Amino acid sequence: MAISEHLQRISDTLRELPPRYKDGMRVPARIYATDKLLAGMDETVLQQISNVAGLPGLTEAALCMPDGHFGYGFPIGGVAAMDVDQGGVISPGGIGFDINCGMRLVRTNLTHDEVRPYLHRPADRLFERVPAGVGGTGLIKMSRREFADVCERGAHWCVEQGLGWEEDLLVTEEGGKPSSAPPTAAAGR
Amino acid sequence: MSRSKARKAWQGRSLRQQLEARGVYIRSRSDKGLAEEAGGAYKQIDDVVEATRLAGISKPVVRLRPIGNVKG
Repeated sequence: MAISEHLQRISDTLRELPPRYKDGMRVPARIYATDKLLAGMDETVLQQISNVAGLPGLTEAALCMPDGHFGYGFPIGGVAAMDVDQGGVISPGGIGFDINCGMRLVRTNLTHDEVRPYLHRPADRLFERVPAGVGGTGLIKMSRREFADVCERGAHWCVEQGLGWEEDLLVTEEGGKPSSAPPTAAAGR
Repeated sequence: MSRSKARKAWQGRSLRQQLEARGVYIRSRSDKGLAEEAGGAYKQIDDVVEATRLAGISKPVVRLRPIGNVKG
């Protein structure tokens, strides 16, 4: 029986794979999708999100967003909240191993017509400065000790090095310095 | 569709031509890398947005259109 046949319809946009679907699931797996999107979703996505539902400390359910697609362990678009007091874990697989791979939205008062003639300038600069792709490396080389310092002080370190402005800290989550994240808590590798 | 499938399905070079024809400025280390992010490799954005709206987990406020693409 195909995994999709185990899905229960909660609403027009929500399906649920109950924990009894397979051994190891601790909570339900819930998939947000319309019929159309669900039809285009690979069975491997459903398998992956049901695997996520077996992680310890998960609260309520493992969720898959409507754009869910096959990932590394977690599906891309998978969401899981862990409760540390319930044995929750940090799962690097949950973010596809590219920590801080994210979205940035920068607003400008410039119009499209104003930007258009000069668009190549910021694009070329980003291309030069931002390491990207397999084998890409950064501009900064540092020792292990310096690295621990960066982990400890986050974006403040960057500002001190002239790599950012004070104002940047104001618009960064937790002021660019996550509390209660001592680097010594992590393994050496 | 997986990234590797996307890579096979879309020739990076023709993708570049398509995007440039639509006025999108492109900087990419390789056409192959560019092909990984082909729009066709993703679900239709309108379908995804509509699903999140109907499910009550998001509220569409603005539509963004790409004018530049920088890719490793």
